[in-house]
Order: sequence, then C-alpha cells, then structure tokens
Amino acid sequence: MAIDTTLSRRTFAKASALTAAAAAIGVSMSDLLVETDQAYADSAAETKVVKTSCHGCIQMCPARAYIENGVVVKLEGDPDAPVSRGSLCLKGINQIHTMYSPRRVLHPLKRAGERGENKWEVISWDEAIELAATQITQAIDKYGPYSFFSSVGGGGAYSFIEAMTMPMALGSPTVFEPGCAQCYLPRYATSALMWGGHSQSIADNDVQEIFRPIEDNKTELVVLWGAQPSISQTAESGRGMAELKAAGAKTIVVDPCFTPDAAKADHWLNVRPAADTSLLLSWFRYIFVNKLYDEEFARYWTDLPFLIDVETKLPVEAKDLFPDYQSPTPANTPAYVCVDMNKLAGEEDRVDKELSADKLAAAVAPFPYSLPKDSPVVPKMFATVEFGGRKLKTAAQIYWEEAEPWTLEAAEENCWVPAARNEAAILEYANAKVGGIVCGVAAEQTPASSPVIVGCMGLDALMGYVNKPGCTLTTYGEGEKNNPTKRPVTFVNGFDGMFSDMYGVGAVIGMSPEENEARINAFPKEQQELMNQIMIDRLGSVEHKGLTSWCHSHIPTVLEAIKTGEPFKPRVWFDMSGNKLAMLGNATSWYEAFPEVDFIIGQYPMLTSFHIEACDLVFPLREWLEEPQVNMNQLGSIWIQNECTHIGETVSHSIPAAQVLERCREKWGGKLPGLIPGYLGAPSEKAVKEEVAGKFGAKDWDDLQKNLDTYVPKFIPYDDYFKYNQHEVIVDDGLPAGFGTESRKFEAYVIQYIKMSRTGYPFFYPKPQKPASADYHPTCFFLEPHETPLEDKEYPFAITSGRVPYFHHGTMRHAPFARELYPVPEVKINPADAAELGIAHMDWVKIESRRGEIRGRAYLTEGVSRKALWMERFWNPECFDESVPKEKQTAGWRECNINVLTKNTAPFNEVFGSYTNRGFTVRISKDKKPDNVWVEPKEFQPFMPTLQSEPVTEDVF
Amino acid sequence: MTSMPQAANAALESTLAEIERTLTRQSLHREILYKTLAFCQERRTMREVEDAIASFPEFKTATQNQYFLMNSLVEAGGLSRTFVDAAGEELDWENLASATDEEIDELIADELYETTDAGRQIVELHAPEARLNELAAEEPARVGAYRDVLAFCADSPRSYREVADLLAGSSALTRTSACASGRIQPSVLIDKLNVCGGIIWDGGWSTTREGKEFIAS
Repeated sequence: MAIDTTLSRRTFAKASALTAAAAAIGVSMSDLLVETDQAYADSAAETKVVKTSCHGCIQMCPARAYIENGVVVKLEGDPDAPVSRGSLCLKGINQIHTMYSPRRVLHPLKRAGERGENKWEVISWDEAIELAATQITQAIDKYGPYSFFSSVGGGGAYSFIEAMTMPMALGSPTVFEPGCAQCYLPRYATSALMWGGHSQSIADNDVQEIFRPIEDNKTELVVLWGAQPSISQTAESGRGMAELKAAGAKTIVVDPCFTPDAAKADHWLNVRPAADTSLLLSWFRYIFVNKLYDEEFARYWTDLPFLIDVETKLPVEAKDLFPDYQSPTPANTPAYVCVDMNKLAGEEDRVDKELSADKLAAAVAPFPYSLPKDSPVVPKMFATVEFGGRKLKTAAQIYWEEAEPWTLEAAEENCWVPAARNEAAILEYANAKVGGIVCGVAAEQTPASSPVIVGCMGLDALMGYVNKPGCTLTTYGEGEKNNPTKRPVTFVNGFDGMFSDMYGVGAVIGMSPEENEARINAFPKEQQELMNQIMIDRLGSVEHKGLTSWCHSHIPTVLEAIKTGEPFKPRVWFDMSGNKLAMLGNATSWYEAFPEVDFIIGQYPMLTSFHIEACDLVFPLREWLEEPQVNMNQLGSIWIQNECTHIGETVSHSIPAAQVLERCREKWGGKLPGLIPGYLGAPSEKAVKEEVAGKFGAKDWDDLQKNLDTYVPKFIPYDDYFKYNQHEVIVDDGLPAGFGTESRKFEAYVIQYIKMSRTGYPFFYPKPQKPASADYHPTCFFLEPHETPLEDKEYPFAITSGRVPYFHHGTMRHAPFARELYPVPEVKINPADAAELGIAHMDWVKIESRRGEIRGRAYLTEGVSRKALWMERFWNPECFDESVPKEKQTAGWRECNINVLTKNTAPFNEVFGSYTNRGFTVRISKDKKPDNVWVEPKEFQPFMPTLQSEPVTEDVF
Repeated sequence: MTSMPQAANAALESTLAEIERTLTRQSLHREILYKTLAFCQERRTMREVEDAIASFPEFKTATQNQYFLMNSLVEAGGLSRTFVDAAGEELDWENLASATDEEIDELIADELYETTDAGRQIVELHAPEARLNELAAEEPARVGAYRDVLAFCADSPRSYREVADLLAGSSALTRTSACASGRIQPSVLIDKLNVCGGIIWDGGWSTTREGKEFIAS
C-alpha cells in the first residue's frame, strides 16, 4: 500500500504546513473524537478529589488530584504516604502544565515533510496502526525478524517490559534504552549475582529499610555514593533522607558536586568525576589494614576467605583438593577450601603479616557451609598458598592486592579527596554499628560501572551491613526471600528471571548442575532454542554479557549495525518514550544512522526533537494524570496512579505496540514470527484497568473506583514486611538459608562475573555464548577514565552531570513555570578557575569536548573542585517551536545538551558496556547566549496550558 | 577571484551533493528517487511520472506520495519542472508577474519533468551495473554467494527464508571483525544486492535485469 494523503498535489506543501500548525498547537480535531461530556462552561462546577500518584520521577509519590468538571486544577501530596508524607515536588505540581500543554499530541501523527521538518498530518488510529504494521511486516518479510528493533527511556518512560518484549514477539533480539547500562541495570544485575538480593539504589526503591518510620528506624549512617535524593526524588527519598538526618543519623556524600544532600552531610568527599575506583580502593585498604571489618560476617558469610585458583580465578571446591572429602552439604551447596586458623595457633589474621608457605599449606582445609558457630574451621582472610601444585589466594588477598597501592595519600593525588577528610569518612562508616551505602546512578554513567558497584556492595559485605535493622542491604518484602524455608536461589534473565521461566533459558543460581539440567530439560525445545539464539545474536552480547540481565542490546553496537548493516541491520524502529536525542550519549552520532533506518515510530505525549527530527509516525500517549497504573512500593504500601481525566485520542503506553502486533498477526495469517507469549502489555484500556483493579484485590475497575479508600493503599504490615537476619534462619535442608548465590555466601568476590565472561553463565544456558575478549574483574579495580584531566592539556576540565529538581530526564521541558525557574543549564565551576578564564557568575559559556560544543550559564561555586565542572542535561523545545521564526529554528537539544559532548565509543564497561556520560574532558570559555533559547519568563508564554477546555474523552481502545 | 568555469564546477558539485543527499536521506525512498531520475531522462508529464513511481515495487512502502518525492528532486536540482498551459506552451512568468496564485493555478494545465544535467550524472554514477561491479570489487570473497543469490532469484520470486536457507553455512556469512556471533545474517547480503539494484522485492526477491546481466558477465 502506498502511503497517500488526501491532499491535492500542487497545494501539498502549503497544506501540510497548515496541518503541522494544527497538530503542533494541540487542536483537538474534535470531529474525530467520541465526545462524552458537553462543555462545562455553562454548568455549576463539580469538584472531586481523587487519589492518585505522581509520575514525575520513578518513585511515584502518592498524591491527590482536585478535579473541577473533568479538569485537573490542583495537585498535592497524600499525607498518608509513609515516606513522602504529603510532599510533592516541583515535577509533580507542574504536571498540570504538561497535561494541558498546547504542545500535547492528541491524535496519531504521520510525517508530512522530510525528517527534521515539523510538519505532520493527523491520521486516524486505524491508519496509524496499519501504517506501522505494514512497515514492520514488509521489513521482516524482506530481511527477517532481526530488522525490527525497539527502544525506550528518556523520562516519562513506563514501557520497559513492553520495549523488551515487542521484539521478542517478532523474533528480534534488539532493544535498547539510553538508561539501562547507564542507569540501574548494572546495579540490579550485580546485586542479584552477589547476594541474590536487591541493589543499593534508592531511586529505584530498592533500599527501603533506611526510610522506616523514625521510631522504628535503627539507621546510624548512610553513605550516598553518587546519589542525590534531595534533587532526584525530592519528595520521597529526599524527604526520607531529611527525616533520617534530622533524627540524628550521620551521612557521607561522595559526589564531585556539593549537592543539597552534601550540604546536610557530616562528610562530603569531593571525588574527581569518574575517579571513584581509587577512592573505593582506598576505603578497602584502610579497612583491611586497620582491621575494621566485621570479622565474623566477612569470614563466614562472604566468599572472601575462599581459596581462589590463581589460574582459573575461580574458588576451589573441597572435592577438587581433597578427593576423599565427603561434603556434609547437598550438591547445591558446595564445600570450598580455606586456610584454617585453627591450624595456625597463635597467629594473627592480618593483611600485613605474612606467614611461611609451608605453614599455610599445612593449614589448607575444607570449608563446609554452616552457621558460624558450627563451622569446623576458622577461615583466614588473607593468604597466598601453594597446594597440590596449584597457586591459591584467598579472595580477600586478591582484593588486598587491588587495594594495596591506594593509600589515603595516593587516593588524594588521583581522585582529589583530601586524605584527612577521606580518613574521617572511612572511620565514620566503619565505626557505625549499622549503616550502609546507597550507590547512585553516577556509578553507571561511566565505564567504571561494574567496579564501582562491586566496590560499594563489597564494602557493605565486608562491614557486615547486611540483613540488619538500619542497613541499606536488608531484605524485605513478601515471599520466600524474606521468609526463607528453602535454600535461596536467584533467577536471571528479565526482572526476577521472568524470561527464564517463560522460555526455559538461564541457569538458576543456587541450583546444582543436575537440578538446573533437569529444570531446563522440562521446557519445550522450540521456544527455548529460539530464545537462546536471540540472546546469542543480540548486538554486543559477546563482550558485554551483563546486558542480558534485561535482554538489552549494547547501544554503540546497535548504532554501528545500523550504519554498517552488519552483522544485521536494524531497520524499523519502534521507540516507546522520550527524547532519544537528548538522552543518548554522543547523540549527534545518531544523525548518520537515521537515513539508514527505514521507518521510525514514536509514542509520547509531546513532540520532542527526536520525534521531529527522526520519527515518521507518532502515537499519542496519555499523560500520567490520565493513565491507570500501580505505584511503586513505599514501605510495603502500594498506591494507585489513577485516571483523573482523559483528553484527545491518547492511549495508555502498552496499547500501541499491542495493537500494531495484532495487525501484524492478521497480515501474517494469524501468527507472529517470534516467541510466545512474546509481548507483555495490555492491548486495551479495559485490560489496563482490570490489571490495576486486580492488584488491589478489587472485583473490577468500577469496584475499585467506588471503593477507592477501601482498596488504596494496600498495606503489608511492617512486622511482615521488615524482617532481619534471614540468612541465619534454618531451612528445610537443616542448614542456614544463606544467600541466593552458588556458595550461599555473599559473593564479594564476584564468582559469576568470571563465569559469565567465559560462557555467559548463568544467562546463556543451556547454550553458551562465546567468551568475551577478556575475563571480567571479580573485584573492584582501579580504572582511570579514558579522557583524564590528569593528562589532557587540550581539554583540561573533567565534567560530570546530574539532575536538577525541576525535571526528570527529558520531561517537563514544556512546563512553563518549571522552565522559568530554570530556563537553561547552569555549569558549576570553581571561582578560581572562572577568574583565570575571565568568567563571571551567570555569564554564558561555551563547553567543548572532542565531540561537539554547547552553551550554558556559569554558576560559580566552591562546591566543585578546581578543574571539575558540573552541568545538567538539558534540551530546549522552544528552539523548534512554531512560535520561533523559521530561520532561527534549530534542534533544541543541540544548544545546551551535554549529550553533544558525551562519549559513546570504547572503552566500555566490560560487563555491561556502559559508555562515558560523565567524567570526560572538556574546555570552557566565555561565550554569548544562543539566539533562540528562552530565558525571560514572558518568553515561555507559548507554553502556557490551553487545553483545559478539551472535552473529556472515552477510551480509544 | 573565482573564474567562471571554476564557479560553474563548484555549482555543479554543490547540486550533485544536494541530489545525493536527497537520494540517501530516507532509505525507503532511495531507489524510487533514483529510478525517477532515470525515468525522466526523457521529458515526462506529471501523470506519467506519477504513474511510473506508482509502478515501482519500492513505492509500496514509501512514506510520501509521488508529488512529494518529485518535488524533492526538483528542489535538489535533479529534475527540472516546467509549467505549461492548455496549449502545451510554457508559462511566460514575466507576463504573469502581477497574477494571483489562483489565476496562475487556473492557467497551469500540466507540469513537465526532465532530469537535469546534474541528475543525469547521478543516474550514470549510480547505475545498477556500476553499483554491482563496485560491490564485487569491494567484497571479492562474497562474489560467489552474490551470484548464487542472483541466480536463485532469477527463476522465481523467493522469500527471505528461502534465500537464507540457500546461504546457510556459507563462508560469505563470516565477518572479519568482532560481532555477536562472528557471523553476519543472510539479510546483509540480501540488503547489499538490493541496494545495488541486483534484486528487488515485490512480494518476494527477484533478480533485476541488471542483476541477470551481472550473472552473465
């Protein structure tokens, strides 16, 4: 079918410009709509208050919406929410401006000009679905399933599962997200591998223990390592941290920037951007040397005393060194080997005290799994030993050798944190009875993602800050993990291993080889083989196997494949949210890829520069005041995100893909070429609502709405939700539960990283993946940024970035009041550096990297070190706005967005492929304001909300 | 100071670059635009050009209508457009300087399209024969596989799966640089033959005239 318009040929250009204007200003085209309510102007105002949740960031604070005659007029926090306690931040409050923005997309739009021209034609949903399905089926018919790909991310992105599973339904391996390896996936995956538990992220609601109501809260100390809750999740974890601090807890903030959390902290460690590994290793070194670690936990509940074969890098099992040894534990709980202190009578276990080789060799002994009190051995932490012709070191010894060079002074020289300040912070951390590290997204913004995460997790394990009241790494929730009755296991591949159980791929960590084989053999072969092949063929999955945790592709490898066509060309793109150009590293490099992509489908409530510059078709999505969802968990309570109103022909986020897939199925005679069930997303609003109702235990949506106060929130009593020392509970095999790892210990030495790098285990199972070019590091290790200010004379500053309270990623940039408050990015610079460069406070400056240049306004502060810069990621939708003269229009993200500068080329993080969003080098100079960037409040007038008079509409599907 | 021939050359270079950019900025339109330039090497009426474009198999997935595509070639300098009145005479724009848009619309009976000199250079430069020869020169190790595919699709239209099966196990699917599996998908070879004008999709992959000539060469 040729794509045709109803426009006359000669007047095409003029007419399409008119439709562009109409679409861009949000004209409703109300003759296309089913109008359910007449305009309310003539009738008395009807006001109601509806329970809902904000979705201004991912924490989703419970909120209340005041609705007058179908129009949301006011939002406020819900005072019953246990952490946010009635708070709602700027992002939440400003949602009314986004909801009723004149720049909303209310109907499906088809491109009417060239990519890059803001010209659109309003089409019907049926036409839009047909167009998308035609392009997808044609591409797959011609080039096979791998020609399809999807993406998600960029703020306001709810479609993580949908973006993962739409390619699966079509038999394609390709999905990516600008976050993912740069945001949360490495923490999520690594924590599962290290202890089978949650990560140290508070943004993602993993850490909950430290936010318990103050009367029950035992937290003494929190380290915010590259996290800024006061800014990123102001009303929830920001509020929670403020409450905790007010109650007397100590905090340490590790951040290149003096954030609001740093301002309240007891210690601020001004680490050089992306130089966290030397700082972390200095903590390990200091704790090892001064023996500040929790000796019992480290010895008996971590793998640090295990003897590691230096050649294989894997722990040695007792049966390998002692063939006659009969392990007292089952096959799923191997006995390992250690150096037994009982055989070294009178000797101290100190890192700085060497013992003779003979003495150590005589003390090598099996180390069966048990409670500490039942252990036949007292394992030595630090040792190097020759035994049976093999060179063995304890995992702690290997860690020590990584950390040994990093004295406080060496760390200061490398990462710029003064030695005395560093020492005071380490002592505060190590001397707390309970505490823990919160590891923020900063870890994942650089190729050092895995060593930083492993380091932060490893420190808490070393200190025994695990499963205790007040610790960040404390298990909570419902089910087996919190109430163990059996040997804990960890499923991989998808969230909680969801794809493992659907398709029979992935070994279960904690099952014996025989148990895994039996389990995997029970799955139907056809689906299993298809899924396994998809995983093996996924772009970047040989080198960066950790991405398989979410079944994601490596972004730079996807870009390369589009540009070169090899090893296959992703050619029809379904993006499920946000402004990819504002979010992707070195986004300019994607310009070369767009002409090679046959068709690009977007879905979002607004047109962003990505949609204008790249998309051929845009599906209109509901804003969060319109879309029913279930909230993230706040301390065991779940809340509703409600359908407060609904305008235009917008739909919930899962629906376009579901509808397009259904049309593809029809075109292919009732079958899709991929996995079954494949796509996981509701196809209609009714299904969306029923799913939400079901999660609250309501009969249906009507029942839920009529009895909202009964069903919402749904609470798990604190006594059931918060439990402690779960690893010590004796389970059905007569042993303490331990952790969901192979050793049942907290694997601070990440055994699974080594295995994964070689075969892909546990993700790639039963069929292995090819080995990566090198083994992954099983410990934290030193990694200097590829571009470093220690050597770079041409670009002498190290830059980092972070969020500001007004926006979450690419969202809210059309919200006029938010933009008035923070119209352009501020570039924080030390006053001494600014003076040398002739830059005054609030001067416009140019920042240049080896990849491009942008502008911002200088913010002079001692809150960044000399030769360090900080700025916000920004994009300026006004640059493309219809209100700006044509000759001045530019792609708004190019003016001030740090992703013009960031680096998406090697080196990448070895495990996850994370690239360099932070910690690269730039230079800065005084400059002038970009022509078309708005700064003055009155300039934002075109963004003021206008759609309050839109009719409230019925569900489209 | 730039001499006249130099200035003319620079203008031609600029036009060639603009046509090239227009041809390559949307992969779904690449071959349609090329074929339109080739078709208009003889002067054509608007209807003839629209019908021709509609007949191209590639047009089934085009994202714009014929007029938009023709217009983009005119704007790039690859096609010339002449407005003619009912008598077939070119409109005299000097005499129409004061006429309104509506009056001009009334006068225009047709539009004639013809490939410009720059457009003809592009047609020659990117002739399928030349593209196929370039491909063979760039990838000598895969020439055998390319010939196999061209021969396979010469008999009757083939599905992707059929071509993929034909190539299964072929050394032509080996990639020299590192990639996920060390091998490329069969779609890579199919895409390259399609981009070079050796095969075309019309419900199945078929070998073009130029593709058949390539096998015979």
